[in-house]
Amino acid sequence: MLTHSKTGPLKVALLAISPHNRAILEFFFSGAGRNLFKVVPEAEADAFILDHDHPDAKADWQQRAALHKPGIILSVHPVELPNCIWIPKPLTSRALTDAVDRVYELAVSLEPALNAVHRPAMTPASVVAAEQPLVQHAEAHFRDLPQPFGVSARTDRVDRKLRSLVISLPDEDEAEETMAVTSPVMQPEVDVPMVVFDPAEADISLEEVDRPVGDSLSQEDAERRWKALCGEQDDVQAVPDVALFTPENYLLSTILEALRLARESQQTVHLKLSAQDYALLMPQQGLAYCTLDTRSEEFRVLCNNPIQAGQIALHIPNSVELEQLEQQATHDADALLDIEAFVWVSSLLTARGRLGRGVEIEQKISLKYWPNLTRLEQFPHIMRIAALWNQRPASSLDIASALSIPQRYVFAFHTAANALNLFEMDQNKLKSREKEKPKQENRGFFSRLLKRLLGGGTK
Amino acid sequence: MSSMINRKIIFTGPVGAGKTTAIAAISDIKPITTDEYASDMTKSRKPQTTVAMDYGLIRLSENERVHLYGTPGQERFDFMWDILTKGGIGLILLLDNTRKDPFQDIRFYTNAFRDFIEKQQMVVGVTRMDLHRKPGLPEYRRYLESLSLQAPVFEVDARSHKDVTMLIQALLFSLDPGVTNG
Ligand SMILES: Nc1nc2c(ncn2[C@@H]2O[C@H](COP(=O)(O)OP(=O)(O)O)[C@@H](O)[C@H]2O)c(=O)[nH]1
Ligand SMILES: [Mg+2]
Repeated sequence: MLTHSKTGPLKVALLAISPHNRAILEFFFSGAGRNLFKVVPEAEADAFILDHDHPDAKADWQQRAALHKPGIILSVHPVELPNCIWIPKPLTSRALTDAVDRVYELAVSLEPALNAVHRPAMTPASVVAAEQPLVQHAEAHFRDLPQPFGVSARTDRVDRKLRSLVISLPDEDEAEETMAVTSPVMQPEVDVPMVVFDPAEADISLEEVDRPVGDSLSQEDAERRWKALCGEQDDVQAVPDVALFTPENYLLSTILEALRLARESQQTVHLKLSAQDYALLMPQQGLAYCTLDTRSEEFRVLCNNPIQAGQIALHIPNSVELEQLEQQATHDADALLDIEAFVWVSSLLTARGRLGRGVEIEQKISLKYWPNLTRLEQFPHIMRIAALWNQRPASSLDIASALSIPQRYVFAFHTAANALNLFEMDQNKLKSREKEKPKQENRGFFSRLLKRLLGGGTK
Repeated sequence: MSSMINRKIIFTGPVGAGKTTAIAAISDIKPITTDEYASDMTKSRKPQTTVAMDYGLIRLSENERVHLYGTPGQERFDFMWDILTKGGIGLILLLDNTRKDPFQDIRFYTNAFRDFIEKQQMVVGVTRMDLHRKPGLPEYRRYLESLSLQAPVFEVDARSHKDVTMLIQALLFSLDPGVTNG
């Protein structure tokens, strides 16, 4: 529940606002914003609220310009009107909450004018006459406004037969208060939310869908692949026992050099893999092309074995050469993959669950950016590793023990994410992003949702 | 009834980013589109407030449901979406990579849902990268960082059940890395 230190809610009158938006505001004012705002007839109001994008906004404001009452102007575009504060759309609860303070401040500054004016009998028209400069300001202001969002949407309403749903699912404990919404000011045509319709309880008959279970690798094939990517070694007890590899001995170091060159020069880099095979790294498109299937045994062996002198070479092709190469790549679109996916899989196949020599094993680091997991090869626990490492600085061993998972998966992740520069290594910039209260109370629910989604079918 | 658990996942982003498609990819029901002036409603004895949105549903059990809300386009997005986030697990922001300025879309939608994102979690899916490769994910990551937003960013095709599921997974694990699917 939002509250405010001032005594009682701010009394507001709603001026030019579409019935729909009015209903939503009143919904807020009667629920979460109950202690902040109270809608009253205009004569009793401390302030007014006006939707600047509404067709009647101009007339409504002009009539009130001289009353020196604070106004809250809602608008897509910034608006400066005397005695008013602007709240940008889309409106948020917080912006409305903050507005209360600002209106009180404004009211204090307007106080002398209000007392001096003191003219309850004046009609809006005579007020306007007395305050010509303000009106001129408003005239100028409303002229040539850009077409705001929302206005046209309201005018071209179609009478399609659509099911109706309401915007909020009230919690059980709030059901009563949302039931009791009433509106003190009501134009005859205005719909007031008397009842909040809960789709969860409405039992509208909705058409079920059948979703075929997606084809995926057999469990056996998947496990074989995970071994190729993450190795098979058992957990170690002590840091000196962690298995290491020497990147310089492998194709991987040249791939990383090619990636750096490609990104820095923003030009396609050609990487010779053998007498007949090659890869292209295309930084402009964020794509790689490899004549070897990255899932093939040949590519695995290539990554896995130390390279021979003269086997590998990289260069930036000239324009003639490039045209030819790119043509080849487009003809063979199946062999195109995300540039990061190429580096990722190469790293994994090289490391097989080991860390690169030179890595400070015990140093706490955190994941600065998530890898693009939809386009990268997966292995067990990958999401949980990313999520936890993104939340708090930790070493590989910390992550493995916190999640109770085999270390090799964490080492594999470390090597591959590091190849993509996704870690924050700067010890001064490391910070914990863990939310104050771990949301463990949702664990069962989340787990069921996850299981359901990963299960594929409908039920 | 008192034990019914209702949670929401909210899909937002510009028109054409794939919200309706993404909801359809994981919903148990054929998603429906609501309208602010649904004609059913005028016949209803008790007037109700509606907002144009996509609606889908995942039924986990007799008394556990995940409601999937897709926000309307920006031109109809002028009011108070943040009050709809009550009971929300998190926000899936879908961006269309073929749009003129996807970064402006990020600003608009993350501003509209700022409190919700802070309290819960956002995950970003960039669609239509098959049609337009730029900007690339590194640019998106850096842009979000410049706004002090911390969120997983994935390339997705909203038509892919697997991709959309991955977004939800990232959301759930971000909120609790201890979640299991066993
Ligand atoms: N080529 C391509 N089309 C997509 C992708 N994602 C969604 N679409 C299509 O984009 C269109 C617009 O999607 P829709 O769900 O209606 O977007 P909404 O306005 O956000 O609800 C649909 O025809 C989708 O099939 C994608 O990644 N690539
Ligand atoms: Mg749609």
